[in-house]
Amino acid sequence: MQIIHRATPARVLLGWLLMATTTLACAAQPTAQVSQRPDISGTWERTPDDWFGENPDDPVHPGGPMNLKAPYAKQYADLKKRQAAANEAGTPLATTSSMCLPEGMPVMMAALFPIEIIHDDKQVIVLGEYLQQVRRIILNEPNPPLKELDPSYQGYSRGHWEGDTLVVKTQGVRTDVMFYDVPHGKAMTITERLRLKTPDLLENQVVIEDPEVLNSPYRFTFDYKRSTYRLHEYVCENNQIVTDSDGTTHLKRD
Amino acid sequence: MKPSSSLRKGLALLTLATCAALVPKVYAHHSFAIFDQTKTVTLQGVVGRFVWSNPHISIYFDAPGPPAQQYKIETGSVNAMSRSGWKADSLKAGDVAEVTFKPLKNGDPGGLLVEIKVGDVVLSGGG
Repeated sequence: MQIIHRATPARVLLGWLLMATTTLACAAQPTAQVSQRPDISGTWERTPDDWFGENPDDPVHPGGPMNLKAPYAKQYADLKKRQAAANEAGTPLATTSSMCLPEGMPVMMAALFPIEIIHDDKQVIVLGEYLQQVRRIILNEPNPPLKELDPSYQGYSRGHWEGDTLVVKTQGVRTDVMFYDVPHGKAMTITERLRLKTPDLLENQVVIEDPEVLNSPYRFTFDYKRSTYRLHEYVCENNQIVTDSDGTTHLKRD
Repeated sequence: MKPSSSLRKGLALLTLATCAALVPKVYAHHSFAIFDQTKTVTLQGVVGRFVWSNPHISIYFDAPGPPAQQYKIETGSVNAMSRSGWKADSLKAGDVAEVTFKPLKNGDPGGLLVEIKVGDVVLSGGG
């Protein structure tokens, strides 16, 4: 039996109402998402100003001492002794920074120089002025399997918004990227939770999980203040630091 | 129009104050430890070359001695020093100047800029 619906005025009105409601709902959805999502775009600088500590040659771990597994704890202690001796002699040990290599993750987010955040519905881009670093956070996609990731300085980041918080998971960071002289394993995972505490104050709660190097997850927070500064180029075209064969450095003689 | 002398002095003082707050960031590229922070040297001479580059701006400074020699004086990055008022033409070869710096520990002629005076303009290096 065929059912025929007649287009009575009541049905037409109901249809229009349904269409209008659906259209409005569809149109309103992205707008609502955009308006609900905090605007974290712009330039950010670390705060408070003295976050770096008093001695640049002995940077402070942002979450206090790290609970390293035994071999790494000894390695770190030995490195600190060798650094102190080399510094005393005026021939500090080479670092990735003294060789103009990128900081990588998560040190890039320490914002030694200002960082800029640009974001839309699909991705969040973080630019670091120091050495012109670029970090890309793809939104609403699962992290690729670890074994598929070729090592990179900033790793591979996937993120999503949980209410007012951008949650980002990063893996695949090169193992020669150091976290203030502490190494990490291939399976290191960095989880960040970025949230505006006020319109001009951005908080980044960071957790590093690393079953190879850490006894327990390492937690710290980076706070940033909004800045009107516009990032400039930074090309390390004239590095005057020479690395000697024993790993120490000196200023080029010319 | 050139800024007045008092304005330039004011800018110089502002620069000094700003640089003082920038010290850790200015030198983050490499360790402070190559410089002897316990010593301060002041020399009269002439700017030989002013190199506006990253990771550090360098001033090659000719001092009459004796012995007459050229000192390589490092200061901060272009980015940090720009923010504190330095420009690519803040110094030029031939400027008669007085430079104050923290010397290299290894005795090579060079160091970390504290300040350089050209006439009544003072530029601070944050060292």
